[in-house]
Amino acid sequence: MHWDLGTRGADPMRMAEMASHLGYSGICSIAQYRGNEDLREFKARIKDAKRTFGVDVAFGIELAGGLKNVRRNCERVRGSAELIFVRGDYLVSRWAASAPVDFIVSPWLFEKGPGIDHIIAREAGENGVGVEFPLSSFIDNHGKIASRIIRSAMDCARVCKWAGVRVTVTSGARESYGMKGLWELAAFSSIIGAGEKSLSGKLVMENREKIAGKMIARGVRIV
Amino acid sequence: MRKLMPTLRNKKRYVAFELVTESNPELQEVKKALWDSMLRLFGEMGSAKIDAHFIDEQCKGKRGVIRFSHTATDELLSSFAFVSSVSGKKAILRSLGISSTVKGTKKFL
Repeated sequence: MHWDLGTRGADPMRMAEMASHLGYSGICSIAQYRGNEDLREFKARIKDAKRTFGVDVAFGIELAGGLKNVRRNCERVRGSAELIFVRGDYLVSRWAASAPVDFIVSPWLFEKGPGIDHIIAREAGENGVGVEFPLSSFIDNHGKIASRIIRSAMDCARVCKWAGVRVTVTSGARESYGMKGLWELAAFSSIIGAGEKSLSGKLVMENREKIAGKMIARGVRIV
Repeated sequence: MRKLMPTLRNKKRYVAFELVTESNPELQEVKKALWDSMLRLFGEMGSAKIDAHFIDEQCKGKRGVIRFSHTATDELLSSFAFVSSVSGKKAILRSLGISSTVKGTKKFL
């Protein structure tokens, strides 16, 4: 069961179509949080995509900006989003490591070096918060900048491995042709040292159970 | 020159690939896109280690076979991931399967 947990396209329909062609069992379609009205519309589109192509489509929300903003929006969306992604500087990542969110998005883009230190990594490992490695951030840059970014991502993967932080490599695609094949993502994941379990969709299932009230905490289910 | 003994030859793998795109590019353009991607990611030294060769006879339509060094699977597939367009048109290069013989790749094509 392989998932691309980070597609950021505005059209989930086309994303799902491409995902079914590329052999994914599911994708997570991520929308930037701009208000509840937008989210309702996006959710409806996701439902249509699910029905048409038979690919499981999860609903994710990305929160970005300052710490105050991210914290406030996180409380608003926790009950409705299947996955929550947080993007921001060190302070945001530090907060996210112990908050009810699922992934910190490419922390190395906002700070020097890996973007997370041993404090964030340890806390994230304990709270089950992961780090997302979107491939688009590597593809969009060239030359010296690209090599610096890849180096930082490799450092980040090393710190994550040390602290037992969950890591996911995603396409980060903004359109259907930005998506990547399954084995290609796995190969890149292995090259940067993120491991081979980085394409699992287990977390989505867990969060769905949490939202439905079947799972009280990690490992504690109502049967 | 005599052929090298089989034990002295480099071990090879064959990957069947598919190009997902709306246009119909020539094989040369696909080759160029992959080589650009390999050189960008791994440079000339890394590309030499990957040792990728298109098997022209097996390339038909948008599918084909590439021979490469058996130690460089992750490197070649990563290069596939970095191909985002072929001759100016958006494209996805994806692997269908890997085999140790050309004959073995036929089931993927």
